[in-house]
Amino acid sequence: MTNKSKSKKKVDRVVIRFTGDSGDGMQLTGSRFTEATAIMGNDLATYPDYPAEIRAPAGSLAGVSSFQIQFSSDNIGTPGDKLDVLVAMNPAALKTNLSDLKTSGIIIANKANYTNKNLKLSGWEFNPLEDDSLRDYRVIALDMTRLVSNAVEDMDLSVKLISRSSNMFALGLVSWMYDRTLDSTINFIKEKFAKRPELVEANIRALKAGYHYGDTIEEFQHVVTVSKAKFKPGVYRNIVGNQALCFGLITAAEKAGLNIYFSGYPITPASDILHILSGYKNFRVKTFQAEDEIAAIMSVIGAVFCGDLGITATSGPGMALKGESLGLAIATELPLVVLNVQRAGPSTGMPTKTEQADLFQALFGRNGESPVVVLAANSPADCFATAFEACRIAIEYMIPVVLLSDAFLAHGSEPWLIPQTKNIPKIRNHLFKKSNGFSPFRREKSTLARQWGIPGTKGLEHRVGGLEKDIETGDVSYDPENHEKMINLRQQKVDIIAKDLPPVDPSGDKSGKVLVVGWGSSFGAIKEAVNRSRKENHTVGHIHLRHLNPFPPNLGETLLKYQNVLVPEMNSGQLLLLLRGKFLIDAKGLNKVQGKPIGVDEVYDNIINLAGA
Amino acid sequence: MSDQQTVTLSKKDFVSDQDVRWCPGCGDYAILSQVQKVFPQFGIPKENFLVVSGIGCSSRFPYYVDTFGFHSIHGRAPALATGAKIANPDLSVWIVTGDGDSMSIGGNHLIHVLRRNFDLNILLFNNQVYGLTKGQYSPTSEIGRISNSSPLGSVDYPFNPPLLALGAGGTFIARSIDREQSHLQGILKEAYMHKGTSFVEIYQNCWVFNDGAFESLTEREMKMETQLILEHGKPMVFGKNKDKGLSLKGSKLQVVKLGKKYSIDDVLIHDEKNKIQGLLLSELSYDKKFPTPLGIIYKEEKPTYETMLYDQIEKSVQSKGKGNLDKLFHDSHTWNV
Amino acid sequence: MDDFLDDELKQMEERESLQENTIVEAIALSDPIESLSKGCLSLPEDTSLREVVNRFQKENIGCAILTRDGKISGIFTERDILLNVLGKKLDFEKETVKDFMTNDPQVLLPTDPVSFALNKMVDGGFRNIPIVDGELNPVGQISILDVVNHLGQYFHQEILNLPPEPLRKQNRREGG
Repeated sequence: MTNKSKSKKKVDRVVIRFTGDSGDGMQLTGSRFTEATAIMGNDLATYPDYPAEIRAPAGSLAGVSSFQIQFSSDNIGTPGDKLDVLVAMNPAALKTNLSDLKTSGIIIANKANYTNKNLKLSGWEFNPLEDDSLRDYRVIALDMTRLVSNAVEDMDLSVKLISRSSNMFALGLVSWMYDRTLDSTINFIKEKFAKRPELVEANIRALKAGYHYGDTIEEFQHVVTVSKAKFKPGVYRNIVGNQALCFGLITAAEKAGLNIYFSGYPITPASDILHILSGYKNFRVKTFQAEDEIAAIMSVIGAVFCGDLGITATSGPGMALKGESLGLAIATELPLVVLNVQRAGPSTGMPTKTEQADLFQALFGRNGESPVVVLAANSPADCFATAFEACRIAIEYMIPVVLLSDAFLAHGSEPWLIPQTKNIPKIRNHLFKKSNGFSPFRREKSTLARQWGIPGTKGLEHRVGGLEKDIETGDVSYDPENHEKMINLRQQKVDIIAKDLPPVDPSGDKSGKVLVVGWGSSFGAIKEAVNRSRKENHTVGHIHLRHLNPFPPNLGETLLKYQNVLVPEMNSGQLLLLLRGKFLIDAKGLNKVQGKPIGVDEVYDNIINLAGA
Repeated sequence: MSDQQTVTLSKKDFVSDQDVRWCPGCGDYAILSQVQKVFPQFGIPKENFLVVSGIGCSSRFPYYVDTFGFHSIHGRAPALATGAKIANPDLSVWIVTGDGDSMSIGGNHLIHVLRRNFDLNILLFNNQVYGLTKGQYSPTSEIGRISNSSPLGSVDYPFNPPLLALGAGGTFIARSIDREQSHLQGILKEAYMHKGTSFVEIYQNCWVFNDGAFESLTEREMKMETQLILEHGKPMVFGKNKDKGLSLKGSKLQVVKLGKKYSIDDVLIHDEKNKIQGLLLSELSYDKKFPTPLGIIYKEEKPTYETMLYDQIEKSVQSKGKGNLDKLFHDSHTWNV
Repeated sequence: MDDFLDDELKQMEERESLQENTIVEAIALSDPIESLSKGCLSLPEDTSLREVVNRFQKENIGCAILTRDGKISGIFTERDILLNVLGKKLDFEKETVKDFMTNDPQVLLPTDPVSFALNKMVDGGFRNIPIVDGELNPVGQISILDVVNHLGQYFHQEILNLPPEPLRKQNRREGG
């Protein structure tokens, strides 16, 4: 269904946020719009914000659910800072989201839900649709419930069903405004609600009614279009961060010839990983919902000792609990992966908000000198590659790896170029299959990986444990010089990985005024800010570190090629301290610890400041 | 994985090259010896054994048995053993733990491994004291124990190990003593044969920090009167002349002397499958008015965790087909560029 | 993400089917009022005011059904005391309740449904209604509070399990 009656206006990018009560179907609406947008070839990034934990009362501020999407003809990396369009299905949604709307942005409101009761519940003294509180914006207030009612007049539906379908009206309207097709949504509705034909019919009629409404009212002079973005050729799908992590893990297991053993304990925002992997039994993935965080990682160590690829996932508080056990994995040099989907801390913190303040914890959060490998994913699609890389390092080097993600990546989504699995390289494991020549702590020179002799293999009986061990024989040893050798060895096990890492290659200018060094989910915002500043002829480069321990081999010398180094982080300066301490450079931090992602503008302003100085 | 053929092994195959370093006179030596004698009798290859421990004197055990072993961290052995058993269900897994390791810091993992009923074996070396850290009272020490951390006597009520295990849903609960060699061997064999979590409490003497804790049970003169050897299907009699027995009065146990008033018919028959009786017998642990039950207190058969898990996996492979990555990745809305 | 979508769909479905039937069930149906009502205080109509008030105070009750020859003749409640008795110079020992009660009150049978009671309360403005048997002998009484409690039982989730200061101050998400 295309629109022919109004003129078209082209823009580069649009940011839309669908908001409403959690029972209003905003996730459904947003995800349908996303799919239609993907099919039309725009680059996009999304961020759903849903009160997933416990039910909030209908119409309350805590019950607001939102779905944000930015789509563009350029390459974009974030779901957008300020909104062009805010769909506010009820007053609570308007209240919590209005501040993110650009001046002169468009508000689309369902008047039917702006009742006295709802207004009071969300703290509006007067109805903002009726006074001049929204004078800075373009307001389109419609009684969607009545409009849908009209469209389904002949169907004799209950009031509740009609009001449930008003989200489709909003979707139809916004689809018309931005020249999206309705086919994919219609097909989805037919399939998803196949068991309820009257719901299918009501939703489709509501959708079309919304679409036609745009066409008929005078409010809209034209339809906005966004051209296709340039993508590498291939087959794409939309993917969410936590899902991408799981794909990376099962791919790595297959390439390494191992079975996955996963254990976890439910914790926001990592629980999805447990859910998703529990559904892969036909991949022979074993999942174990442990009684607590410690049992989760300890059972992983047991499984790894017996030859599985062991993985556990948690968030900040769970990482704290796993400290002693992770130390045991380091001491016994076993390949396991710990996923930390970071959230705002300290302590219980803000479980649904994002932060990246667990870097120090990953590096230093254990007794004694206990180095682990630390990696960080930088976007939802990148979670696939980083998860694969984490497993590769763990298996090829017989060492535990911590992979840092965060709440923003966990639920955000973006298009993903689906790899051909036959082109993904195999991973070499150190399983010892012969029955002689085994020495549990004999290490391979190139990787310092020890032989992985697992129970059930004849002749390889041996004992491991957390006590200090002799560097040659692996027997318990309290010898002073041996201890120091082992301390150094465990550090070397991490350092040696850098040998095979690709050197850093800054994007943008290879030398110049400012180098922005980031890690984690700030990738998109930094990329856009760097592009913008370079368009204004500043010499700016961007390094986004996936490997945080060890660092890539030439990081130090690269930092010296710029006059200023800026480190944006959602913490109080952790990578900043590492870079300053390790490389003795006067790097500056952009530190935002508000439970929200860093914005493009914030990075841009800081770059300009440094470039100008 | 090796062939499941019967192999002939002997005790010396299970002796490792490590110097055994418990205090001379420690009950652990006796237990080690029985385990090393019994393991070869199971007829399974040596590489299929896995011994897991936590921290404590008991937990040095794996170093002294020449099998695969893991000396892990305080209290966490059951969790590690769980992962191992799921990864390789064919292994014969033995958890060696102590009263502090399993009932203090490890309490949580203990009750969950019992509840889940994995086919593995827990050997609890109960010496009612913290040995390795020099003598503090433990969760199984009797109330009033004087120790370094309780100079005026502890005010803690103790855990009753078999009662705790029963309450946690344990499917095999037994007790033996470090010194009763043949009895202990028999119990270890029964534990191995039971398909489910086997919980074996072994009274062990720490002569350095808690000497004589079980003297009344092991002293030649006394033990006849204090040991109640349980045998399934047989009446629960004890005493040098087998002249005393346990009887039920209402819902409580009582000791009766056989003679004019009570005959053998008044004595309760031990029924391993009777959970209520198991509870009553467990209650006797700290009661000096009764003999101490030794042997299998309770036993039941039910499917193990790993059997049910692998069942689900096989069914899933059958119904969905073996997992295919490319198919999985494309199982969503895709578009071509 | 699928978790969100499934959760959201579930919530939308819950809202849709939100107990539209239950209110109809609660008031129209067979729940006879005898299952809601409590016993009544029944006194002869020539009882003195003093005695009636004593009984009210002793038994912590606010409604009396008055009888003549065992059959119902009137109803007297705390509201009658407030409106018709207080402030007037009356001799409580001498005055009988007969002169202050409502004569020939509206009554209900024990088998009448709750909706009848509601009807009389809404339409007639009565707070208490006597319940009699076929021969006008009082067997009980039903009050507004009894009806409200009854409705409350049906709407457990919506009424009983509300947070304190329901729906206000809920502006933060929870997670775990």
